[in-house]
Amino acid sequence: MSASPAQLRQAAPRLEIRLAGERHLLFLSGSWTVPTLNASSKQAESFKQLPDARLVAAMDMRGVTALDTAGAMLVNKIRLLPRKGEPLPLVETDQAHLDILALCLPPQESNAARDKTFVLPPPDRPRHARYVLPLYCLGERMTALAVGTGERLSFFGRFLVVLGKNIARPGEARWVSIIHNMEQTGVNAIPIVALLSFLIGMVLSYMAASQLAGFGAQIFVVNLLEVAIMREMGVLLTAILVAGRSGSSYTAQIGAMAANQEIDAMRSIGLDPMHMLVVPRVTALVATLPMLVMVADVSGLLGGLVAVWFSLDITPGMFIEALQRAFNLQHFAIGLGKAPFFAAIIGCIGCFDGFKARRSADSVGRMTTRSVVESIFMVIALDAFFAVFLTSVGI
Amino acid sequence: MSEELAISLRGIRNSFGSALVHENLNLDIKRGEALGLIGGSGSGKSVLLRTIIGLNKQSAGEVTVMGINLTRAEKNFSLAASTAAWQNARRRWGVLFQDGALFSSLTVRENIELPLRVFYKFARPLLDEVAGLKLRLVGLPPDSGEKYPSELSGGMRKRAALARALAMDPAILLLDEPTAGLDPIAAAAFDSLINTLRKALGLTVVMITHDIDSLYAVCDRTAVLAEKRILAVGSLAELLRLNNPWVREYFSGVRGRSGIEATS
Repeated sequence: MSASPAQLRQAAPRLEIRLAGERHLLFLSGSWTVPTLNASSKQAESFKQLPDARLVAAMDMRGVTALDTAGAMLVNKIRLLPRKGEPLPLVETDQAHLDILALCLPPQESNAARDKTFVLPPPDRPRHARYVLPLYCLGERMTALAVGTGERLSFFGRFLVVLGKNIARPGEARWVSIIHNMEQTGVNAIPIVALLSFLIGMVLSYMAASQLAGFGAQIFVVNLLEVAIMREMGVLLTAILVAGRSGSSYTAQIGAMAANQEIDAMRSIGLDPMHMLVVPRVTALVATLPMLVMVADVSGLLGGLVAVWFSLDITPGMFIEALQRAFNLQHFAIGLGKAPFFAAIIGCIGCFDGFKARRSADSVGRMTTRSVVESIFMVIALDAFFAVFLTSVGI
Repeated sequence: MSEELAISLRGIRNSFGSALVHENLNLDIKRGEALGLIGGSGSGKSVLLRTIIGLNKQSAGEVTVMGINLTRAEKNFSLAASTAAWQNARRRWGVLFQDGALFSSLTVRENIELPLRVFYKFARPLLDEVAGLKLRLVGLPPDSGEKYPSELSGGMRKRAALARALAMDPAILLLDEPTAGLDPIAAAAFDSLINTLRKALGLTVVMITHDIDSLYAVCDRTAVLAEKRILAVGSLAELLRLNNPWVREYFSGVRGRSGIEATS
């Protein structure tokens, strides 16, 4: 036997019952380790099926070449099978194997009581008949929704209070932070906002042109672009982009600070995180989003201009002339007027979810995802509300 | 009575969901003393610290800091007066959180200057001078002020956080496991730094620690948090005479031996 340790670990695990005089003996051999666990588990299963299994009086382990904790777990399982609860006596010469087996012995009754202190408490959900459970879950969800809404409203209320204090005493406002955030969320977002609305403008006018050409009313593409981009698409697209770009970064920034106890440190010094972190961020967003919307409007129309130039042979001159006739200040103002509301919602949700992060990287990630979904949902819902409201009052 | 007490906790009760952490907990910390707080993992040491500084609202009991009863101020005073009482108390303590909790977007110097800048609006040169002094007090080289917390080693980060905790010249220094994660040499150096500062500035020090060496080196008295309350307060010799099984086990382990031998 001059096999290397690696070969010994690879040796196939075997198990057989032999008759030694009057007694049935169980012989184990080969390697009982993690690499051979599949095979040894099959051996253990097959042992259960053997007709003589109940008669086995002792276990001979001298043929076992390698044993680790996983293998020992299986060996112990086999040892406990023939006589309920009482392990089979062993024939073994290797003290190391005996030690591993003793370590991996499943807890006895006396141990079980001690281990109970480490058992997780049962979930709070009470046991009910099957038909009650859906109702229970529904109630749980609704309560969570109500509590969550309340928390968000109270957060928004505290935000307004601190914002009011900032307006009353502009000298104490965090101007450096506001300007910094304006640059991050506004100036740096211009290229992507411009590019995307340019593309959307192109797509819109291609679609409209192919439909309107049927009536010979190609020039009305301009009217459609004007109302669609100025009133809806410009602001909606920008808000969604900013929610994904800046709202998420607010959540991640504040969440990471919460995870690092920086928020606690701030409170312990006596600085209000609402004043230090939330108000500058939301203010910056409210100030920059309308500007981004203007960029989106112009570049969306530019996209439309390029598209109709190539597809319908409407020259830029004709386009601009038609645009001047179609231009309605109201559409532009409505689109622009919605921007601050969207900005406030995106900013507040982004910051709120950041504060909700716990001390783990996983929770920061989860809250970031949630903040983006929530704020895009709220933006679209609010936009729908504006559309219904403004139409019903006739604007 | 409250004149010579830095911090007084009366009948504190804290619970999270169904888990009761503290029940009828009383603790008095004298002015100028250094008190160590020990207890098993999950016994609520950090929660107690957070209760003192108001980050965790206890469900019952009163917290008094430097003679200001913060619980009563919150209940009985107007919003403005209660806020003032809290701000007053907050300027009397400095907190060193477990991992330092330095503001990661600011340099070390800006971290130290932030509370001073917001509350007192000092001019730039004065701020820089004060920050430089604090850096020197905690034994950091002057050029570390321009570094961001992520660029510092663990020991330096703790020192920087200590400098920020000292920024407002507090009377009470609250430390949450100041030497955790430091090698023995750095931990001993940090202990002696706290001793030096304490003597020079007359600080009251409250220190959560698992480091028995720190208890010996820094603390006058040690409070044992177990069974949801302060089981005992006293010098280490007194605690060892107590014959409480938990205390005995705590100090008799291999890890504790060197510390005990050092004093006997």
